[in-house]
Amino acid sequence: MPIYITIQTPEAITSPPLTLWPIAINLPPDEASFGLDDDEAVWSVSLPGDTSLAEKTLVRHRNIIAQRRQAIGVAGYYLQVIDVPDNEELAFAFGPVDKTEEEETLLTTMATFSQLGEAESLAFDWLTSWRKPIANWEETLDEYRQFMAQAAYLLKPTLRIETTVEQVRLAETLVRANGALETVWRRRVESTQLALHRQTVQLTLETRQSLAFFVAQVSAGAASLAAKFYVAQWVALPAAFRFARDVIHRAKEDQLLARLKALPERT
Amino acid sequence: MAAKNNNEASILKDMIIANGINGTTKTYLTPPMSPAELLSYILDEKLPPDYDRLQQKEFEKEDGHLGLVHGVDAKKLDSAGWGVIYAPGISPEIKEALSPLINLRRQQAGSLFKEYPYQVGWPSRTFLIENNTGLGPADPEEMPYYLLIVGSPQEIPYNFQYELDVDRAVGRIYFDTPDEYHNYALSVVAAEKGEVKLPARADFFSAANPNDVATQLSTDLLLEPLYKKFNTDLKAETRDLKWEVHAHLKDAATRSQLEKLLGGDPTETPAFLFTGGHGMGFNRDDPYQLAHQGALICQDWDGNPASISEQAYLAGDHIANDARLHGLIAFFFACYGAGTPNHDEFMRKVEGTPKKIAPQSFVARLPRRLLSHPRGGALAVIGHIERAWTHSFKWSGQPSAHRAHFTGTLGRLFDGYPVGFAFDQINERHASAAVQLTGLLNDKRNSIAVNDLELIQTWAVNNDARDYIILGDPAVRLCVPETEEEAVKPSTLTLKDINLDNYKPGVGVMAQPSADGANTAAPIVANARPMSPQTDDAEAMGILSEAQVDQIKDALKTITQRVAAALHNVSTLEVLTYLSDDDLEYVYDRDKKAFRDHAKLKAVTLIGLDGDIQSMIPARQVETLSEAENQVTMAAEVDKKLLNLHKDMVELAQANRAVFLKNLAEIAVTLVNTQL
Repeated sequence: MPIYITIQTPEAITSPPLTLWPIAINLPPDEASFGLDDDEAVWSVSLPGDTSLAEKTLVRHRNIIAQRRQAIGVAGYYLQVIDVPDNEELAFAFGPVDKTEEEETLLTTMATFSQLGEAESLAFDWLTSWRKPIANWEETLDEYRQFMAQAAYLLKPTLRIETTVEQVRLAETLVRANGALETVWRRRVESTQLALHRQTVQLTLETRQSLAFFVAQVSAGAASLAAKFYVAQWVALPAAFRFARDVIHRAKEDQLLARLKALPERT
Repeated sequence: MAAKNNNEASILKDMIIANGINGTTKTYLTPPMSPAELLSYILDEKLPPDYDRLQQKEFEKEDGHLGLVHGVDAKKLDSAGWGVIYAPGISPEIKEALSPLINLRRQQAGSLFKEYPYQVGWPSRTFLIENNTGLGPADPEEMPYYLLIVGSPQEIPYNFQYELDVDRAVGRIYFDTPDEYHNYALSVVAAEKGEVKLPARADFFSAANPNDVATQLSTDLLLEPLYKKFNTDLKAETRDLKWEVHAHLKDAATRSQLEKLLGGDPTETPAFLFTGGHGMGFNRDDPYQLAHQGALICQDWDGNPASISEQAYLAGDHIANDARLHGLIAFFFACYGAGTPNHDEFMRKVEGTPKKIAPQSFVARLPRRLLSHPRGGALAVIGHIERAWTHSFKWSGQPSAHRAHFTGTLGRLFDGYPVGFAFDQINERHASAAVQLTGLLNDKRNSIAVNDLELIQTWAVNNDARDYIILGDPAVRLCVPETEEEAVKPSTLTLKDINLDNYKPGVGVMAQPSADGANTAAPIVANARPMSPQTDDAEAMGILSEAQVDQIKDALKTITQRVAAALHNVSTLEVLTYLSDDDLEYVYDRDKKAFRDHAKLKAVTLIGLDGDIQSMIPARQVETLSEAENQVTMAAEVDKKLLNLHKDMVELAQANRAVFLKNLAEIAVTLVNTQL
């Protein structure tokens, strides 16, 4: 069962479950359980007949993906530089009890890193002890599994990318596991429309790259957390994901930089 | 520069010569002047506003380090620092558009990253004082060495940039729309992350128009010697990376060739381009001024100012939307090549007031277009504000040339230094000339005997050296592999009259296995920390149920298997292009995971891990009428539309493979230590 992206106008894009991407990646039920029976994923894009609008839409999506990737890099960096102060007993879990407190603490922490270039702590008030009730624990686990299912789906050995304009299939590309590309083009199609398929493939590959990058950052970040905080690896993975997801959301809301600048310098 | 014939060369040898053609009046921008004429202007000069700093810089030379305080590594932003100066008119949308670049620099520079607001009217001295630093070598702890100005020269004047540039590495960007800022930011970020690599190729392009002394001089005394020097130096055995160096001099310096170098032909885009020639100028009321001032005049111009036309020069709006120039760094030796001040900076006074030469100061359209190109832009352009003079490389009346500041700048660039640090070599010349000039002017005013010709030369050198600037982030560097092994070989298409019907995708009847017949797996460099096995007690602690732990394990197992499959065979990358006459609805066979037979294979490219590329595009036979023999013959012809589609997909596959494999390798390194 394919992933369907229907791009008719920029406004028609629905919010995906994880709100990580500009494109809804709705997995079929069997994929959510990591079924390995079918080794093909499908990425189907339906574009409007107005080539200019279609092109702008694709470019806009690519820009958003690039911004997400940037935020993932920032999150990965902070996950690596978290450090444990000496002589302090630490317990690690995740999830704020109070959302406002979490946000403010996160920003303060990031401001500290930015200004001082060192990580003296990762706001242990924010990362509450696992002995206390943990907020949104189940929700975080679900999101992490959903995210991993999306990544696993796009990493299937064959990824088929279809571009359709007003019910007419312009081209299809098979992306093999090692990156090989096979493309079939329909004859007698205008050059400007053919160029749309190239952009669709580019958007798909960039989305897949970003997902893989996200998995890599979360995995490496979780390894770092687990080692530093003496926490179980199964806890560290969703925790690292949760942290990265929060950073993406902050970046997306276009508030991070402004707030960082407004914070007083920490002495 | 005047259109004088060779018979007048002896008269001209002591004349003062500036570059540039006026497209409005169809004359030279500045007629050659006698020393006496120029002397009257110079004696009205005052001390340069940045004299103190220039003098300080000149003294610092003796200590062996310039620009930066001792112990700072110019190649590392966490040592040299990076900052951005925003003009007041820069909107939140523009800052958002630039955020990919700003975030990257923030990450790279760490605590030495700074953002500065600029207040209208601030000279550089005030800016430094307001930000708690002063004159002299740049201490990144006080203010970053690399500074990017974001804003128009109307808001942050060129003078501010010249002055700040004396001790620091300063660049500027200014575009019309947030999208252009965003394009530039993404271009630099991609280059910094190694997602873009150009072949190690440097090109020297220089027009020498008929009966035109300025371009003859710049070709003979600057561009050609530079080409010869680097054609030797960059191929030295001691270099880790050998460069291809190309010259397009005199008759070869055509506009069509320049268009190819600036992205018109993807196989021709060099990592570094140096151009020499006249730049276009226009009167301030000419509607072409904003769009075409600073455009590069090529060999297509016949040397007669009256015949100058748009066909002879390359301007920003001549760069196509599909140009491929991502990663390029260019140096334009041409009048107004980087921009134009609103007032004449050489002949400051006409009838007692500065002569206004443009409605407002502006950045030239050509570099703006190159930097903000939607398909990936140039990383930086070095160019001239105002008219470029032959004094950039020559003292009047002397046959020899002085090129050390150019060779120094280019040498540093080729050695991998950021463009801002490399450019410091030109700033040194500015500092030397300014200090010398001030001494001469003081002597003259104190009635101490001064050689007037020497005074004129020094004045011209000072003004000329001052007016070079960097457009773009001063911390960018040449976008090439670091070693020969990493070098990207240019895509070459081999046209063969072959039948692709028997080609088996994935099997590759034409694939080239390695010598021992084994698949070569992608190298994985492990440095990540393994998961902590001794603390796998989450379940016991009640955080996770057994089922939840199993779910996470299942997810990791699936990812691990798919990553392993992807990394299994990366020795050869195939790119195949098919055409189909039928509806594509049924072209794909799900059982075989392949296209059905009615999709006809038309092009194949195989890319090895070492960068070797084999492409096979069958030529098609078409009937043509031979004029000579007046008979029908068969000729081989390549379907260009198909070829372009295929080349696009090859580029896409190459770019994707590099990034994707890197990410997969990182995942593999981390997960391989996870206990599943």
